[in-house]
Amino acid sequence: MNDVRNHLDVEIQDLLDGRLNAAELRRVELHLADCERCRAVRDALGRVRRSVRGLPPAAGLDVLKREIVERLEGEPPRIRRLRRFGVAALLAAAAILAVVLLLASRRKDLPAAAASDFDQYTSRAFSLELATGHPELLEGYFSQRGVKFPTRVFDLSMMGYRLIGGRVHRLAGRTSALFVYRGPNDRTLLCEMFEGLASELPAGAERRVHNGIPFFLYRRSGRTEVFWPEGRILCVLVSDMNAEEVVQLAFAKAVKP
Amino acid sequence: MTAPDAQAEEKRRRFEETALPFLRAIHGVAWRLTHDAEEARDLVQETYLRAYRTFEGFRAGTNCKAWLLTILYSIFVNRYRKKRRQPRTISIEELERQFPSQVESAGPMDRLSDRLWSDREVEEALAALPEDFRSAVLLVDVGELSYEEAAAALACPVGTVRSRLFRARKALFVSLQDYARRAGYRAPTRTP
Repeated sequence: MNDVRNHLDVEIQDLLDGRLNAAELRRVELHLADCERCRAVRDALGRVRRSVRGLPPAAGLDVLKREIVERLEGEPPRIRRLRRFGVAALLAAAAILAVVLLLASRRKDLPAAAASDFDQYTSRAFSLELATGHPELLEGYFSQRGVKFPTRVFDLSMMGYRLIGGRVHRLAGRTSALFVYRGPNDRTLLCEMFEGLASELPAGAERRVHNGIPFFLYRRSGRTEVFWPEGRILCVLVSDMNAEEVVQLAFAKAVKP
Repeated sequence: MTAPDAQAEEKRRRFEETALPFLRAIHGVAWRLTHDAEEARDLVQETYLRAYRTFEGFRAGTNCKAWLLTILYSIFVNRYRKKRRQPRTISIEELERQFPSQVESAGPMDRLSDRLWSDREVEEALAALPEDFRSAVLLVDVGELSYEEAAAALACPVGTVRSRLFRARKALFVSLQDYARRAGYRAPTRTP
């Protein structure tokens, strides 16, 4: 154990995890053949690795599996059920409803769509197009990508929220500038800006006014969404952090047009 | 059965076939992240429901377990971490400092045999690791993700996963040797 040669370090772990290429493997094995100290480290780390990997599963998995299947069966299908109309009647009804649905969808879909964007981002269903911590770079990117309205990417660093990046997105059928922050304890805060009016928001919001600006607060399934208008632009912050934290961030960053 | 019903049924069937085989690994990570049976169940159910809702975004042929663990870790960080009671964690630097001497004092049989540490001791040593380090071990060793997949789930560079894993395993060895020593185990006398 008094070997004074250069000992291996994290390469021993790479060996155990099968991450060495042929040349590296040969070099590490040659060293191990002559070095008792590094063999001891390999054995120690290998034993830890085997012990963790060999831990038994927790009890009750069958019950949990059944509960998951039951909840999946309770999930509503995304496609609306069609009534048993004839084709002609169905087409006629569809034509009549088309305009109504078009208008109604703009009213009722915004909070649901923003919440869905949050879920999809946090489950990596889509990724950011530009990773940057600089608001001005992201604003330039939105402009270059053809976003027709002025965007205002907030600097929340003083509040402990680090800009991660953004993307040009679609929210309920309209172009949206979407950007994301990572907050204290790695919390995710998603912001979207898009053309719209507060009157398009559905009923059920908790309305608050701060500095003369109206805010519309929705709390659904553990998520908080705060909408506010800035001229012809609607802004929304979405997060599953504490609701008041989201509200305070919106209060701090909203401006009167 | 109407066409939408059939489509929903087909989606559910495909999802269950694809995702449910990983329940053991997903629950194993959830339980060791939360240290609470009820929270772990909720976290796993929420993970599967969110995955189901975004199943259209999952690319067939990619690693479903990595995708599920990414969702799970994201939910954990955003929803459970803050309200969770923080377990007492050890100083990883202090344990790393002891690693060379602990390895040297361990006899060959000690290093090769896994019988000296019980599962309970391994669980306790894991629970005492700081969360960043424990997460790396859980995703790679319990979840059996590659470093690259773990890095994507943790939203950090691959090198960070490699480093945290290395440091965590060294710390675990020292902690577990301490358990063994306190339980009365003595390393065999080494022959010259």
